[in-house]
Amino acid sequence: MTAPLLEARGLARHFSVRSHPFARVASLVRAVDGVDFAVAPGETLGLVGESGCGKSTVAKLVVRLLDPTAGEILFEGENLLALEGAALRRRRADIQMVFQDPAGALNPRHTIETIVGEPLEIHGMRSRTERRARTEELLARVGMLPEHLTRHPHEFSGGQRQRIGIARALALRPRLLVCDEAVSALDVSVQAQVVNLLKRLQRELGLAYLFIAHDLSVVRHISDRVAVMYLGRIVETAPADQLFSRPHHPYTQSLLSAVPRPAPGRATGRVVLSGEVPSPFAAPSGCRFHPRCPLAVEICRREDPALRDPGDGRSVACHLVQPGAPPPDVRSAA
Amino acid sequence: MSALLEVENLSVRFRTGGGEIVAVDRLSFAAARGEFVGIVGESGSGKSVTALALMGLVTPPGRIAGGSVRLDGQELVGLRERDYRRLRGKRMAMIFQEPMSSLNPVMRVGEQIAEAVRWHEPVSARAAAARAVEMLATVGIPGAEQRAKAYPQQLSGGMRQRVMIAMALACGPELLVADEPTTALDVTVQAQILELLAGLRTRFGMTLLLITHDLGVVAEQADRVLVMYAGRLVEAAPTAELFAAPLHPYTAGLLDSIPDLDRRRDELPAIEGTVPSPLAMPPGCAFAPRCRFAEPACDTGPPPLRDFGARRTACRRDLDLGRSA
Repeated sequence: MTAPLLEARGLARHFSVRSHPFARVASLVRAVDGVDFAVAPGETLGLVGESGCGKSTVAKLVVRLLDPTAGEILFEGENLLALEGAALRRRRADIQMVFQDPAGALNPRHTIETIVGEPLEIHGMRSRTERRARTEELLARVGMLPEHLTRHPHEFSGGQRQRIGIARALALRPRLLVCDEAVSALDVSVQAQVVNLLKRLQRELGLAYLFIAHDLSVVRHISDRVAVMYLGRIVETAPADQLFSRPHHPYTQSLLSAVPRPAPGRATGRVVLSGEVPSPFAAPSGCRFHPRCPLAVEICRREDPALRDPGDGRSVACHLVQPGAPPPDVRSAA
Repeated sequence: MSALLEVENLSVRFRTGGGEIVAVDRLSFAAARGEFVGIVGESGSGKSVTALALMGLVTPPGRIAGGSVRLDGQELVGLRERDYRRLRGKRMAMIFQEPMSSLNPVMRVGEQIAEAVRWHEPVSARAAAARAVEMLATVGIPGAEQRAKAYPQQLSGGMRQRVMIAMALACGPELLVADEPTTALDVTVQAQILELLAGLRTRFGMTLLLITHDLGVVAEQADRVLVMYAGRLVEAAPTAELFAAPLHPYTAGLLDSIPDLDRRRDELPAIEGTVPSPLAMPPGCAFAPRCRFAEPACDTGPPPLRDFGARRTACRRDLDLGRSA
C-alpha cells in the first residue's frame, strides 16, 4: 500500500456516563477502544457495524469533533492531535464530513449559495463574485443547476439535499470525505443516484472516503477495503471482495448471513445469532463477541484476541483464525 | 383459499395547506387466510397509510374517500369507532416500526399485555397475567416471568419489538399488519424478528401483511408481494415471479438499483428523478416521468391494472423485463 493519507493508531474514546439518573458512580463506556486503520489516497475504507459499535464515534474523532482518550490520528504523517490554531484550521479543510440527515445539517434559513459558499468565506475567499463562481461550479459537479443557488433547503428532495451537503463538503477541495451514513436516509432509487455520484467524484477528484454505514450492500458496492467493528473494536479488515466472499471472523460471517437478500432462494445457511449486542457499559471479558459466538471455546472467555494478519492481507481478531488453516465456519456450529 | 381481507378501490385523502392530496388511490387487493403478503414501496407510496386505513386509524386531516375494506366479509369502512375497537387487538392487530411509541412507559410490559387481553375477553386478572407470560415466552423472550415485570425502557429494541408482537398476538388475531417492524433494528436482530414473525404466522395460521421499504425483507418468506408507487398499486405477483421477472418498469428499476451484497457492479442503474409531489401528480401513469419506456400514451390517465394469470400490473406496455441475475 502507498503511504496512507489517514492513519489511526490505538485510537480510543471513553465516555463517563451515569448508567441511570440516580447512579452514584459514573461508569465508563469504551465507545471506541483501541482501533487501528489506514486510508490510502483515493481509496474508500468502509466501516461497518451495528448500533453501539463505535463507528460514528470514529467519524467524530477523525474530523476532530471529539478528542480521543488515547491514540493518534495521522494525516499525511502529521499528528492531527498536536495541531492548534491556524495549522489545525488548514488541515480541517483537508478532511470534510457528509452527514446522514441533510435536512438537519443545512441551515433552513440560508440559501444554497450561502450554505455552499460559507466554508469558502470562512477560509478566506473574500470576493463575492469569486465565491459565486466557485459555488456554481460545485453545484454543477454534484448535478445541480445554477438557478438552485437562490433557493432554500426545504425546496429540495432528500436526494438533492444530500447533493447540496456533498457540494458544501467539497468546497475546500478536501482530500478525505468522512461519510457517516450519508445515503442511509434515502429511498433506494435515490440512494443509487447518490452512490453513483460519490463514485464519480472520487474518480474525478482523487478523493479518499471513510464510508461509515450499517447497510452492508452499499458498503460492498463503494469500498475498496472494509473494516468491521463490534463493541468498540475492529474485528476484521480485508479488501472488500475478500471480506464479502470469504469472511473469516465469526461475527462478520453472522452479520453477512443475516442480511435479507432481495432474491428469493439466494440466502442459504442463515445463522441467526442469539441475543443482541451487549451494553457497552458491561463489555464481556475476553473476546467481546464470545457470548454470542456459536464457536466460542474456553480461551475466548479469558483472552482478548489481538488483530492479526493470518497471512492473506487481511487482519482478524479471533483466536480460531490460524495462519495456513481454513477460517472457522459459524454454519458448522448451527 | 378464501379471502380473509378484501380491499376494493380504497382511496385515502389528506387535506393539506396546498390542497387535498390523494395518499392512496383506488387500491384493490385481497389476502387469503394464513397468507403472507408483503407491501413494498418508497416514501410517499401510500403503504403506511394503507395499513392505518385497514385498522380504522385514519384521522383528520385524513379521510377514507371511497372504497371498501372487508374482513371475513364484514365491511369495515364506515364502522363506528366502538365497533372497530372490538375488532382491533382481537381479530386484527398491528405492530409499528418504533415499539417505544406504542408501549406505555410507566406500566410493566406484562400488565400491558394483560390489559389488552382483559379488554377483549372475560378472563380473570390472574388468567390474563398468565397469558401475558405465556405470550412473552412464545415470542422468544428468555425468563418471561421475570421480564413481564420490566418496564419498556429496561428492554432493548429487539426485546421491545418482541413485546409488541406478544401484545398483538395475545388475543389470537386472524390478521396481523406489521408496518416496518424491523426497520429500526440492527440486521442481526432483524433476522431474529423476521424468523419469529414467519414462524408465528404458520403456527397460528394468521394472515400477515408486512409493509416495508426493503425488498429483501419480503423476498424470502412472503407468498405474494404488492408494489406501490405514489399511492397506487403498480404490480402484484407471487414473490418468486416478481423477483425473477418484474412486469412493471418501476419494480424492475427498484430491483436493479439495490446494490448486491454478493456481487459488485461498477455503476448502479439508478432510477433518475424523484417521486412526484402529491400536489403535482402527473396526469397519467405516476411513474411515466421517470420511466425509460414511457411513450405519449402513458400520459393519458392512470393506467388500469391488467391481469396476467396470477399477476397484475398497471403498465400500458407489454415489456420483457426478465432479469439476468
